[in-house]
Amino acid sequence: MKKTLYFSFLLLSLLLLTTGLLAATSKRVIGSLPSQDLSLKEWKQKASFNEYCMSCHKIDLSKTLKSGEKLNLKVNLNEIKQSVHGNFQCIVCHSDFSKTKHPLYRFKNKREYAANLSKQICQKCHTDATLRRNQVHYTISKTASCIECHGYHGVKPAKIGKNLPENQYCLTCHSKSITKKLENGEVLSVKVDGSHLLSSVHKDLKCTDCHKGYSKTEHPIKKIASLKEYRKQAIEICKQCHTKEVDQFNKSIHAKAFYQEKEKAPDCIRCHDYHKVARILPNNELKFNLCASCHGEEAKAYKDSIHFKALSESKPNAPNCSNCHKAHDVLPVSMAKLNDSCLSCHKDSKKAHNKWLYNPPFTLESFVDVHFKSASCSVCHAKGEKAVMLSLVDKAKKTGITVEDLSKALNWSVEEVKNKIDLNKDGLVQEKEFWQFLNTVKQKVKVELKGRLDLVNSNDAHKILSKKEAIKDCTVCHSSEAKFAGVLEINKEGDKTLKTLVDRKILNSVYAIPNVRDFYVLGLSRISVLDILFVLAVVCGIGFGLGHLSLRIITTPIRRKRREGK
Amino acid sequence: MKKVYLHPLPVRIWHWINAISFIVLIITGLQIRLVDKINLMSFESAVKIHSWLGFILLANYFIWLCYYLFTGKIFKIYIPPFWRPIEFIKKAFNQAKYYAYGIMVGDKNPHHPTPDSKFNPLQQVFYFIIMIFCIPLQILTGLVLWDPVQFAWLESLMGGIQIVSLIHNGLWVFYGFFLFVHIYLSTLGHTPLAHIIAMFTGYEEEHEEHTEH
Repeated sequence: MKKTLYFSFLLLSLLLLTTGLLAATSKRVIGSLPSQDLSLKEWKQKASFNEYCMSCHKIDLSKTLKSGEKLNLKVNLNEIKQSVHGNFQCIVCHSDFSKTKHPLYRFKNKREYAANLSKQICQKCHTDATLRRNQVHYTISKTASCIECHGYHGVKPAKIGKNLPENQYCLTCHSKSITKKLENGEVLSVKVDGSHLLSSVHKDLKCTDCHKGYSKTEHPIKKIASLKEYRKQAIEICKQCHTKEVDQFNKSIHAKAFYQEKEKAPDCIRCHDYHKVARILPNNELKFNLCASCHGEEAKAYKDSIHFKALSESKPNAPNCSNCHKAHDVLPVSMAKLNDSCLSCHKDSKKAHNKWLYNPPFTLESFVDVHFKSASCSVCHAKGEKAVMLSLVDKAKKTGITVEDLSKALNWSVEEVKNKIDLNKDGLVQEKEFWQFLNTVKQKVKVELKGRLDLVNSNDAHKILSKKEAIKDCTVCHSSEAKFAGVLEINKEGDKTLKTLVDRKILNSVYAIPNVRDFYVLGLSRISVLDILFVLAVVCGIGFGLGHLSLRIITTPIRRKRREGK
Repeated sequence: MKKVYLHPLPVRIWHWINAISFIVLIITGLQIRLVDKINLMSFESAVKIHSWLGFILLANYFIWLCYYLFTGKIFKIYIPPFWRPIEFIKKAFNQAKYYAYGIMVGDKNPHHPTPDSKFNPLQQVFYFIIMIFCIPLQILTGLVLWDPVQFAWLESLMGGIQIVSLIHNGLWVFYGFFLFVHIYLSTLGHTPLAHIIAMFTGYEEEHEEHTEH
């Protein structure tokens, strides 16, 4: 009996163990089945959609997108229950899924996934017609995905209190990573970092102070062709308040380059930033670094100057880039009147020069002006190869002729202009080539040449020497053997001047008289044929005397005979 | 031999200041212009001397002008009688003929100098051009080159600094010729030094045979 009882207990235990194992195995296969009494098929039929989907999506599932981003597929059912969609079954939104269908989507990246989600899922119910009831909401729905503001499954009503302060109101949406698709397909981020605003000089401004036309009730949809177009519009926003600065900028080489859509061309934003609008600090070193971030070569040359030495010694009056080139109306070197920039700091320089640079019997400061007018300060005060710079000027308007003007007038391409000057392409324009070019130009445009003394490489002008090292010897310039190159410079719209090396001897030619009418440097640009004429005149003068004297000597016997009455 | 008082003191002073200034201006002008080829003095010294002498020449010109204007002799001596062109041209031709031929064969000088008519027709034309056009132009262009900022108005009136320089240097070329011809012609008195001495004393010795100075 004991044996029978023992056997029965063993059998029962084995049965229980087997059942337990089976149950455990079933759980592993189908997840949380509602009842162990049902088969998988029966459960599948009877399970709600949420139960069915969640059987997998409660696990930490993820999908790797083409971009490498990971998309989390785990769903928190409680989140859904607490959301405005709390009563929804999964297929209400995910209608392309069912217990028998599970399509596979291949999104390139999360952006595409989010955009698709908004369009294919949310907008099935929240159609444009319903969204249009709120213009702002509608506009945002066209540029941002729903989940940016409303979340994924825990869909929240994103009602923004109209009584919020304006900036906070705007930032409710714009602090999110929302973007705008531009007409050419480029994507513009319209996200604004609130902390940037607060740290900017515009921290006390309201968003609508700049973004006119927008309000808590108005949010027009702007059509913007491209990112470049957007930046052009941004300048107009700045101009609303900073009219003077933008007008100055519009005259600059920077603006010309910008409106020609040249890469790296600066606009307001490039120097002052977007919403983190910064006033360029009065710190000279920071100012220098800002320009140096684009103008590396120039910065390098500047570091070789007495000016940089003063800057590195933190002298308060040490000049930085904008002291000479100005901040907004940065002009090409050939037009910038940089001597005036020098004089704006070196106020006593005229008097200082006048101590040794004067015209006896008087010591007029105007004689210093003669030199300041026709030579760049850097010729005497900086290291570098010197040159006579000749530039083409419209005879009537007295304004510089640009490469583009020539191209238009002569039907040459912009690139062709240089080749038309240096016909044999040997890198130096000879006298014949030069006058030939000028004659060709003069047939179409009334031009003359303007001259000045400067450095061949304008970048060398940054290498300002100390006062002691400056040139004081007049013959450095006033000699036909002076070491000066010749350069023909023609301005280019929004670009650095086109410089072509020319034989400086063109200035010693008679053709220089009518063509370079307002430029003459004693010795350097003397007209050589006059020297020959002077020698001829002296020879003729002496020859006349000697010839006449000789004839008088030869004819002495005739006169003697006549006097003697023979 | 009769003595004629041809050159009053102010004229003599003017002439010799002019003569020295001219020579030094030509030399310093050469030095300024050809600093790489001539080394008579430093460029700076040449500019200083040239500028000083330029102003001396300017002041000197006014001595001449004032003297001849106030005495009224400018019209008698310097202005060729344009109102009698045929007669004047004939006289000028005879004078040229004398220099080219007559002087060689011992003809008499057709011009007889007097205080009111000291120049022969050729001299009259030359000195008229020199005194009324060349020297004023030389001074004016010199002033522009001396300080183109101060005399910017004159520069633009003349058509630019290149034209100004061309006039200044063109006249320099002319003076290069004139100086030697003038010196040679001054030796054509009855003795080679007669005219030169007259320019010191004021008195021209009138020889039996009228000569030229």
